[in-house]
Amino acid sequence: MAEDNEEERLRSVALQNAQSILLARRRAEEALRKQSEWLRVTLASIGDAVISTDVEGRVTLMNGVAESLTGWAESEAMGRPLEEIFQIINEQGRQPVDSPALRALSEGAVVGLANHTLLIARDGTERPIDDSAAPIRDDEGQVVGVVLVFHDITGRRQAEQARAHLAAIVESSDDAIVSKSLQGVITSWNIGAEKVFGYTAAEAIGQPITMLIPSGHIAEEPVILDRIRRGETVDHYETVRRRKDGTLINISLTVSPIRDEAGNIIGASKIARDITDRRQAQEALRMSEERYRSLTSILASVVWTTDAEGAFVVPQREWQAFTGQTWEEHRGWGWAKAIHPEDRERVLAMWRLAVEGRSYYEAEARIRHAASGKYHYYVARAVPLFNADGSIREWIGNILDIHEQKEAEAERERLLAAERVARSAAEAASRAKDEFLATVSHELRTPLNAMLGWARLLSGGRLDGEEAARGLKSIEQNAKAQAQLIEDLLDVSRIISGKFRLKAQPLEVAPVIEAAVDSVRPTADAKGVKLQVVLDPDARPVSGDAGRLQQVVWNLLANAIKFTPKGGRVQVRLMRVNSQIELEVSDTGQGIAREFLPYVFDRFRQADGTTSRIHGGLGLGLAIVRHIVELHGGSVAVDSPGIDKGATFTIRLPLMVTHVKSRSEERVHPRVDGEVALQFQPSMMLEGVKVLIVDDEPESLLLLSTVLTQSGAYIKSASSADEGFAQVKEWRPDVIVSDIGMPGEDGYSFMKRARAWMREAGTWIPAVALTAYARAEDRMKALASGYQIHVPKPVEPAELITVLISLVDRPPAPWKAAP
Amino acid sequence: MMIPTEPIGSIPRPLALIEAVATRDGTDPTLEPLYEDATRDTIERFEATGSPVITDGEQRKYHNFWTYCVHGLPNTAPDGFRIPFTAGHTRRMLRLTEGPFRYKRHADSYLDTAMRYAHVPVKQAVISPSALSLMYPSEEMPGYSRERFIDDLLHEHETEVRACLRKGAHKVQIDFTEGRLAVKIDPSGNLLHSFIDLNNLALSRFSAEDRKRIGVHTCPGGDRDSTHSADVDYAQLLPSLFELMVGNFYIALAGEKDRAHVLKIIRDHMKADQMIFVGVIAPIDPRVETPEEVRDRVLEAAQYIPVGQLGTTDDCGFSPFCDDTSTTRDTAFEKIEARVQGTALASKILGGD
Repeated sequence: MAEDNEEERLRSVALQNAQSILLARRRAEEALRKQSEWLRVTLASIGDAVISTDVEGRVTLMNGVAESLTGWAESEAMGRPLEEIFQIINEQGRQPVDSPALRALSEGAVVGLANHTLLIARDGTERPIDDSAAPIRDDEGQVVGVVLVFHDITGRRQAEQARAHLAAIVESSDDAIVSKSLQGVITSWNIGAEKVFGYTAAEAIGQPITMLIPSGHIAEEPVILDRIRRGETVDHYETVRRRKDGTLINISLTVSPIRDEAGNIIGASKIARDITDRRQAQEALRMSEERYRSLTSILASVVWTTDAEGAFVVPQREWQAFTGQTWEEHRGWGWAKAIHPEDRERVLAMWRLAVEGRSYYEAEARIRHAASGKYHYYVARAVPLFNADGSIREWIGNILDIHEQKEAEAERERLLAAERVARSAAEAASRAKDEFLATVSHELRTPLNAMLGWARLLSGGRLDGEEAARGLKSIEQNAKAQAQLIEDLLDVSRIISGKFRLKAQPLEVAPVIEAAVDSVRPTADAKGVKLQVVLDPDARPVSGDAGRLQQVVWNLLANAIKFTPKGGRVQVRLMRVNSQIELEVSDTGQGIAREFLPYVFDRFRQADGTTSRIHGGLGLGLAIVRHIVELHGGSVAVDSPGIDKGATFTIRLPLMVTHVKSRSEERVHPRVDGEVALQFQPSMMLEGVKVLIVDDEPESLLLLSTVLTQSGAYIKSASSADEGFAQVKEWRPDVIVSDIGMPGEDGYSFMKRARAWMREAGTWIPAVALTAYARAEDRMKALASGYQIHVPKPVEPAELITVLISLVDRPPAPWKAAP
Repeated sequence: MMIPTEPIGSIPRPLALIEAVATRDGTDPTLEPLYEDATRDTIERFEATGSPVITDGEQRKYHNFWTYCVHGLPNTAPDGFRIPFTAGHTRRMLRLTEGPFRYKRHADSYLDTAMRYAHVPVKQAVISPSALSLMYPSEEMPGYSRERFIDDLLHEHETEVRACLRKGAHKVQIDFTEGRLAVKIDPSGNLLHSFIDLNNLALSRFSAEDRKRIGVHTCPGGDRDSTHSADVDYAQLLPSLFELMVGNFYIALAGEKDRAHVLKIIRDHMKADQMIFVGVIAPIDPRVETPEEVRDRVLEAAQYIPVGQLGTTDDCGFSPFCDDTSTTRDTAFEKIEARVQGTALASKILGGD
């Protein structure tokens, strides 16, 4: 029983142990797993390839890098001989190399691969590798395998080659390539540096860089080092350094920071090039060029030669100095690029013509002048030089700088042109002023003539009631016309002086137009001109001066009616177009010549400024219209298809942003207040004298007829030159009183024709020019054309009668007295 | 091709030594000359047999192959488990009384002496961890857990084997005689499997190369010409035995009643990288086998085991327990000589040598 119990206890102990053994096994397995994992991770994470073998050289482990480089998967390679997996050859001889792993196994020592070993991967890829093998020993130091560690050195090989290449460049460079610490201590020194500075590397390395710097330049080094510390590069810094023998040399420095792997600046590399020769050459060249520039600037002439075909084949130093072109630039036909682009083709064409024609060449053009940086005028001349056989050997020519001469000519031309323009403008202004003054005089005198004449008649008290009433009406109408003229002149004066002001307020335009239309409708009706008004009811208000706008409309309407013949039509149209209103005044009148359209709105400009013009006026109305419209922020335009095709004036005014009810304001048309009473005491001093009156103005005709009739004269009147001429021939008056400014044929022409007929007819009739053109030249012109006396309007009836008496009492004309 | 042949280990000690040890503690320094002489003599006689591999005959294992390493430890008690033998006698193991567990001595110390005298390779036998694991009592030891004991045991075993290998042992043989005993005690096989696991834990600490020099010996436990587990069928042991991670198996076969049966089991479960040393000498049989007899046993084995994996050995040591005098030293060497000669005869036949 005791034996059974002991056996049972033994079993119990053994089974309890089994539990502990199981736990121990699990711990061991976990430890092994962790170790394997650690090993796996370690091997996978290292950049090297790792293969291990057993003591017989069979693969027991490969990491991922080894798989990649050999092309063998670990599962395939396990247990295979290492030589099968790790095939290596000598790079140069391409013979198999003894495996370092097997040597490590046999020798029990670390073995490195020979240089220039290539690993041949499973797919035949060859890679340079670097590696070593080490024996694996157990705790007792017995070799139980080998671990082979290798890595692809393709990148390193390339880097080494690049470094070697770079090192070769550095060493073979004629430039001094030096590195220094941030403390200014020399740390490397190439052969170029030895040549440039005279120190050997052994002498220079470890020495302060300042040993190369002359005392006068010692302040440069801290500045350079400061820039290097800031990471900046010093490029092509030209300075002076001292050689070992004490001589000074000109150098061009390029200094760059040197950084460590972390990017920290640890020093500077410096490339120094000896530019002493270059500086001397540059100085020599500069002096040479300066000398040539000075020479050419003095001579103002450049001599040059070309080959037979006209090309520069040798450097033209004078040309180069004059134009600044280098030899590369002016060789061949490159010289043409120094010619001003606008002249170049012409010069080339002339040069080709000369070369091909073997003839003397001369051209004038602009050429680049290096000294001034501008193009200079020059004249180039060249002649061919011939060989004995008659062929052209070369061309020799020169260019002569005529810039100052051309500049002077150009300046003179410019001044002359300016003077011509100024003189022309002055003359035009003078003419315009004279014409304007003449017009003003005429326009003011014409109504005065009627007013003064009627006043004299009325004051004489010999007019019956009907005649008196007609006279008074004539005086009133003429006074109004004169008042309007004066108002226009004042407006122009205000415009010129900048004192023209608007009283702007919200304004409906339609009532303004209606008011203007109402004021001109009687005139239109009297003339037989149809007046049509079309107003857009939706036209919105503008900001404007009602009086001035009415003046504008009245002016346009009055013009239109004036220039529209009987039976014609004048239309006023108001419409809204987008954000503005358009006021259009069109007529079917005599129209405007196309060439005069641009000047319609100019002051003192009239399409017909001659004395024979049909319509009177100062030519100010449209100028005032434009000024008023523009003051309203609007515009005025005119169009006409041509003469006798009517005209259209269009005014555009901006609408007000908000619609405000307009405040109607009655416009008062300019008028002359009061009446002028004239006194005239007629007599019969012209009794029986036949007087022919020629005047286009009915009022003038009526007045003169009345005055002279009361003086006892026989009166016939003519309203045109033609009509007057017919009366001269048929009625043969004793004296002629003729206006000058008449439509169609003026008084001058009328008189010349009449005198011509009189010479032919052998008769002679004295003539009086009664005109508003009252200047001296007007008088001279009148007398020259055949009038005996020039009487300016307005004229006193008594004066006129006296003049007529004096004429009819005169002896006959010279040609009548002649034999 | 020469078929390798190796001894298991123990050779009966000279009577003078046996008597001296019986009267004094085995560690008594005054015994040292006797140990030295016994070892030298054993090696000389071993080499005289022509055996290509020898042992020191375990002349210095004071008590037995099982407890040599713990004999004399202060934290052990003699009242360990009793191992009954078929002859009626018992052997009692030591019991661990407290931790930590450490070897008193390692077998490599014996090797040092043997190597001084040997002219041929010397193998060294060591006790298995599984055998020593039975020292821990059934009750948990306060302050020293069973797990800790197992760890210490494995460490001590590893240290001993590594030392032997390092010092040049031709082979290190782990005595695993408790394998069959485990099956006998626990027919379910669980105990055997735990022994296998424990031993493999120790073996896993060695490289494959090391393990090629390590072997396992199993036998029914020969002592005083009797066994403790001969009645256990190899079929219950060998399939598991071959799971041990060693390169060499020393299997007692000469004493088996049905060797063909055992050889079939070996054939069916052995692995390609394992060397099988079959026992061709039965130490517990007082009759000395003839070389021809040995030759025939080898040839018989060669019918089941590839010649390249076949070796010969003795079924067991000739005196695993030091005071075993049932077999004399002379007989032991005669038997060994017969093994060597018989193996050579078989080699000529099998390999043409």
